[in-house]
Amino acid sequence: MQGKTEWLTGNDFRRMILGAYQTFMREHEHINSLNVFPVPDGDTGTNMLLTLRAVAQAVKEAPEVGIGPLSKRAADSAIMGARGNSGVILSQIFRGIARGLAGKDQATSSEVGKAFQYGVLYAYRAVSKPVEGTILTVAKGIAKGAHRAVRDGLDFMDVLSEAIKAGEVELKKTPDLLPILKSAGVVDAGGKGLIVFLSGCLEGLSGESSGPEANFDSNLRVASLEYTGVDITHPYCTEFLVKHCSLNTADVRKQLLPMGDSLVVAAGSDVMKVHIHTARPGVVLESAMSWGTLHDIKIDNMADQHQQRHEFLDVVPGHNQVAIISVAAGQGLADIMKQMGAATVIMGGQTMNPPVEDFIDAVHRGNSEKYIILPNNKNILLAVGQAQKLLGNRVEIVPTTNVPQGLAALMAFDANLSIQDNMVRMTARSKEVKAAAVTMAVRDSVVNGHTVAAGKYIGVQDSKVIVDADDVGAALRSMVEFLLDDEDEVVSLYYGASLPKEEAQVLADDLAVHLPAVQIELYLGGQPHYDFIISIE
Amino acid sequence: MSQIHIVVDSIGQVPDEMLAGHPNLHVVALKVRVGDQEWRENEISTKELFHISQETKQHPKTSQPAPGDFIEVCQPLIKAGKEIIIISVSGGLSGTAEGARSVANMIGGKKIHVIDSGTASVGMVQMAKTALEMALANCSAKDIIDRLETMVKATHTFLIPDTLEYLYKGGRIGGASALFGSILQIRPLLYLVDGRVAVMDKVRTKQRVVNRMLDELQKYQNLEYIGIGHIDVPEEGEALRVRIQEMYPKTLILPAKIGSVLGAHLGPGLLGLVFQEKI
Repeated sequence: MQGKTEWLTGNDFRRMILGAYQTFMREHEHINSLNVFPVPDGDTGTNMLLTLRAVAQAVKEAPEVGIGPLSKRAADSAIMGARGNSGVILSQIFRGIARGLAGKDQATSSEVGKAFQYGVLYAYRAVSKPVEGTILTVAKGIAKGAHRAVRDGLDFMDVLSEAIKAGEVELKKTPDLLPILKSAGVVDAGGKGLIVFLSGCLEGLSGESSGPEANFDSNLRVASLEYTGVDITHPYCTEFLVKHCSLNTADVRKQLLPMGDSLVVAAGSDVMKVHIHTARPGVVLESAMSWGTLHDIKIDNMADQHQQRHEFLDVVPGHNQVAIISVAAGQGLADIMKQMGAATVIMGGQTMNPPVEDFIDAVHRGNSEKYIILPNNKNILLAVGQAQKLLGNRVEIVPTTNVPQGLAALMAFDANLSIQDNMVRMTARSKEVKAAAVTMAVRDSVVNGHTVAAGKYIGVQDSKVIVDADDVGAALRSMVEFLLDDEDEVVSLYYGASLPKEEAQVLADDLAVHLPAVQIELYLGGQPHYDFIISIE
Repeated sequence: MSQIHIVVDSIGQVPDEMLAGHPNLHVVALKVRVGDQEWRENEISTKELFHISQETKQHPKTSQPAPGDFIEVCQPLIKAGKEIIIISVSGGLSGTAEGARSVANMIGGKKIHVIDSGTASVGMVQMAKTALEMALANCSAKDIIDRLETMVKATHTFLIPDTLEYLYKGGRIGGASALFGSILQIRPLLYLVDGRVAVMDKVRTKQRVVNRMLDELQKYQNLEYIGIGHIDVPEEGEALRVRIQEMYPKTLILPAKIGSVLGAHLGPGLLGLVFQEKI
């Protein structure tokens, strides 16, 4: 940073805007990823970028030279080009700035600082119910920082640096103010965008804008759809200050650029702030130490943040009133039940009936007030009844006698409803599904008057052998055809541990050819004994 | 001519005849884009949009009107001394209401009022219709707003998406987020609570989810109208209409048109209802 900027001209303003736009081109996808939804909705970065693009384009081509008229043009183009909430708020900031600079050909540092404060004020006013923990909290921090710096008579680059610093302090607090951010493990995206905007202004003003000429081509990279997660090639977010730096920002940038990405170098009067994502933070710091003294060093492994974020998402709300304990034989079934909201899945089934204490354990280990148990097998009903006697009114039972019933009941479960309402819904729903299974006969038996030899395949419903065939596919088909009514739409097949996936798929495809009127779905059940558990709805 | 003008955003899908017949009625468009191409809501059909989205393998994105789009419509009216009521799509789904409010702050002072409909489509059209009738009868803006707010509370929205992918990718999945990507194919019945998407129930088959929706509908017997919407499944929409008409032979049944912006968040194959209890 050489010398003080006494007066800011239209040209300086232009450089700030173009710098901000270029910085946004680099950073918008990162901002997109700061999303409270566990989904790649992430439009904040793109919306702010598109808004800034409209501004940058207008400002670049504007015939005006004075800072006042130019800022007016910026505001007008922002208002027309604003995208999304964040874009609208950004457009208000431009309006405020234009208001502060109205009629001026050039402006002092303090005047521009005040104009930025106007901008923040306008942003605040734009939102009918300001919520703390959002872009507005950050904007307020920025305004305060700028106000202090203006009061202290700093030059404008320092005003911007101070404003950014104060904004960052507030940005870090956003997760504490908004629980939704905390549970997603992110800071507010709009707030981050605002800081990127100011950092870009600073870079533009100090002539440090990196990259190619601002390009307005329409082949802008819009946020990718898939959640990209952390760039694992540069996992360490490294930030530090260099005091009494012997290099200027351009040289610092040149040296650091090959070491990582998301590089931001911002200079105050005698402090340079560096932010970089790198694989080798040691090398970065080592280089920086030869330029000056290092301060406020901060290194985060972003993979941790990423991990944390995902762990947060997995947390099931702790203080449920009602939770489900379900029983399954087979990992595939257990996974499906867990995913559908069962708090605990106890392994067990036809030949491995779980003991009473498993249920008592599950209740004692859990953190819900009450439980609904789905036994999913006739042989387990007794044990569950026993558990209920011991646990008293903390436990209710939906007496499901097979897996399809259990899944149907589970699907009707709503953690927000009372245990009584859930019992009614779940019991009713469990009765709407038809269930059967296909397995191999382990001994000779008599079915409908004829003998079925051991080794043949049989279709079983309610412990009764209904059909038999020489191979599993034929037994499956006869069993499904036996059960199928005109109103049925979906046949779900859960294939057992003994059946390879490919074979199960071939059998399911074959069934689909024979039964074009229904939808055949195949899922891994992983249960022993039964080649297929069949559910028809 | 009344001093009160009504502005509806394009999610309402105000019919052309209605717009042509009411000089006091105006529409401000939301936008939808795929990659670098952008359209105003009515410049592209849902069908075309999904086609382009599939061809380019890019998910459609939408954005609320820029403040300037509202200003273009409202500024001249304000200058001419008119009062404006903006009826927006549910604020739980879009920032349009918020954007409209900031425009009101910018240019309107107390002359621009924003009503968050808490719904979409024909729900908004019916509110606009009521507002226009009351304006013609020389009711005050305050009376109209009170009436609209009562309508907002009495209006309900049910949704049966064919896939959750669009709600998910658009970030509008709300309370249904836990269902997305589940191992089992699930058909949820969704509804809007305080304008946001929530799960009413979940079942395995389309037939059953439609039945569930009609069961829920039947809890309301005294209805002003029932709007029926679909996205590119006219036969299913018609079958639903026939069933509902039988259940409610005396109730006004209306089509609930769904444009490309709303469509981009709900996805093809959707069935939906918007209905209002009698006030």
